[in-house]
Amino acid sequence: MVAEIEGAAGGTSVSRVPIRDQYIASPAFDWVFFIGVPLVAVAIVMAAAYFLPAARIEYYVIGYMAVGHHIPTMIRAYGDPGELSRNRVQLFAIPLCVAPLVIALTLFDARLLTLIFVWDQYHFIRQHYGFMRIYNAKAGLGGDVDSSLDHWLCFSFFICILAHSGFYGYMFADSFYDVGIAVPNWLVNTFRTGSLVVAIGVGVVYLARLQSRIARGLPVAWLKLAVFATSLGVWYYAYVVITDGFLNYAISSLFHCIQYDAFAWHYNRKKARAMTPTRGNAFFRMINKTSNLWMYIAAIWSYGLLSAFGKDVSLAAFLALNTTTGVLHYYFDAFIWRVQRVDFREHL
Amino acid sequence: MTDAAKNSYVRSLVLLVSLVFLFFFLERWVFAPVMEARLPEDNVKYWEEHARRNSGYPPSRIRLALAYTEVERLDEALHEFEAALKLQPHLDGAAIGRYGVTVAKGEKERALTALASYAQEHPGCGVCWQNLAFEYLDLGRLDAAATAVDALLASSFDVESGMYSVGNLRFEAGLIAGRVYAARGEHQRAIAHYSDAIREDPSDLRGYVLQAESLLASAQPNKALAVLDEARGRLETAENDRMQRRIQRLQAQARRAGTSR
Repeated sequence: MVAEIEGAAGGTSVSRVPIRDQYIASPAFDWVFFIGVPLVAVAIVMAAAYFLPAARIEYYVIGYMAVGHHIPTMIRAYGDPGELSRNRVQLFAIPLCVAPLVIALTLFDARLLTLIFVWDQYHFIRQHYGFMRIYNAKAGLGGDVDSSLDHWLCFSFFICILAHSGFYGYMFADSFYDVGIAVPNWLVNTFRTGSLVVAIGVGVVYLARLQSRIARGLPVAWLKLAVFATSLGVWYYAYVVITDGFLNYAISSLFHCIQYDAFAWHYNRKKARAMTPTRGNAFFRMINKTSNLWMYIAAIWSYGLLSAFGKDVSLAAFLALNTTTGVLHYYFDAFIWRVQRVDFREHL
Repeated sequence: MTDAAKNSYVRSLVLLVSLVFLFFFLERWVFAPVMEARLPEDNVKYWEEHARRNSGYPPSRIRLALAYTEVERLDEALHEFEAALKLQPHLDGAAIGRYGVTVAKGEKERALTALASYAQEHPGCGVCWQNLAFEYLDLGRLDAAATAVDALLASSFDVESGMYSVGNLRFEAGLIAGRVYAARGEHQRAIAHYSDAIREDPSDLRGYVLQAESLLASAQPNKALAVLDEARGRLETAENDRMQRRIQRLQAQARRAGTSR
């Protein structure tokens, strides 16, 4: 429901969406699976650390969640007839190029593969930015300025966190050095300071803009700010405060995957319900039925389990498989969840 | 999809493939030679700078410690391992590194005491128990070695760090357990541990050879011959010359023992 109110600024008419209508699924679902899940991930991982070695926790998170969350991407990309027909070139041509490349790089033991974690982090923040855009759209807000401010806020804060993270500082230093690139000390220091300056600058501009909206009585997407606070707050805690490299990635990956799996299921289920049944969309409707939720979860965990056990049989083969699906997951996500597409927003 | 969009995707694809090939070429023929030409002192300089700006992150301190170890700056290496442990008291890699450096400094007893104390506090550190068992066995302290192997076998065999290589820890655990119990004269127990090790990695011939030795020591020459036959069947090339000679020697010993019975 959209309520019309008189905006304080110049008496212009401003539409304000009640907060209960700004949730993607429902207040409980959103707080558990999207907004609150970063905090839940911290609680789960830190509690598990009392009982299990950190390496084992990371193993479980990567095995059962991180690898498995490639499956919802494939369900959406290949299962949704609309996506399949819209992106035929990317969905068929790219895997045919990526798979042999990854296999070749695995066979040659190329260190280039280790640099994929740069893309991994990029896709973490892209997903978060996507959530911010969705909450913005659900709040009935738009505008290029806000969109680009959100973009700057996400990326500047995240890059600043990564630049000041002991874990990533080490990962980058180690991986690039092993590849043969010794990034000079002055460049790293400049980057760290620069990222902090940019983040502070963007933060100040963002707060000023927010303050001005509040002062003028314009609507504010509070849920967008809430998901930003929990996600970036937890990333700061995980990457900068925690010094255990197994735990910090486990936290980050766990909440990223839960958010992704939950959103994909919710969105696809809504879309499947709205579809006119045809033979072409039968699989998509079947896997996204509420009563078949177990099937969706089983598909995610099965891929994780298959990979975990498969690595004991042939490490190289399953590394190549997981890397291929990982790269495709990063790539496909760039276009199968586009909030700016009108037909996409229909099922939000 | 419009033609323009299709063209843009094709261009992106060509760009991606070209970049991968370019980077692969650079890695193989430009960066790799640069890396191979690096001196140990270059590593020290790089990791010193890195550790200065990343001093709160334990693996950074360990990398610096390893670089110091490479150039035999052992006191500085020890200091870095200690610093890593102070930052993260349950970092097995740092404890093992500290042990190795202390041994290299000729202070074996001190190294053992520190590692034993760490292992008591962190009983899940299988590599610690493995090192302790080896060292106690070497020193002939068999009771302590047995305690260490029991703790090793009770651990989860998780290897938390890529900074040391232990191959297959379950296999190595079976092997060292067998050696310790064989040294104590408990050959049946040793044989059982060697069997576990062989099950874990049937391609590693050390398990068969040690088991055959224990079988011979417990007057079971026929079983020893059977185990050695299996080992011979797995011998692949001349690269196993030493192993081949050892198997032949044991086979001869087993045949003699079988005949004399």
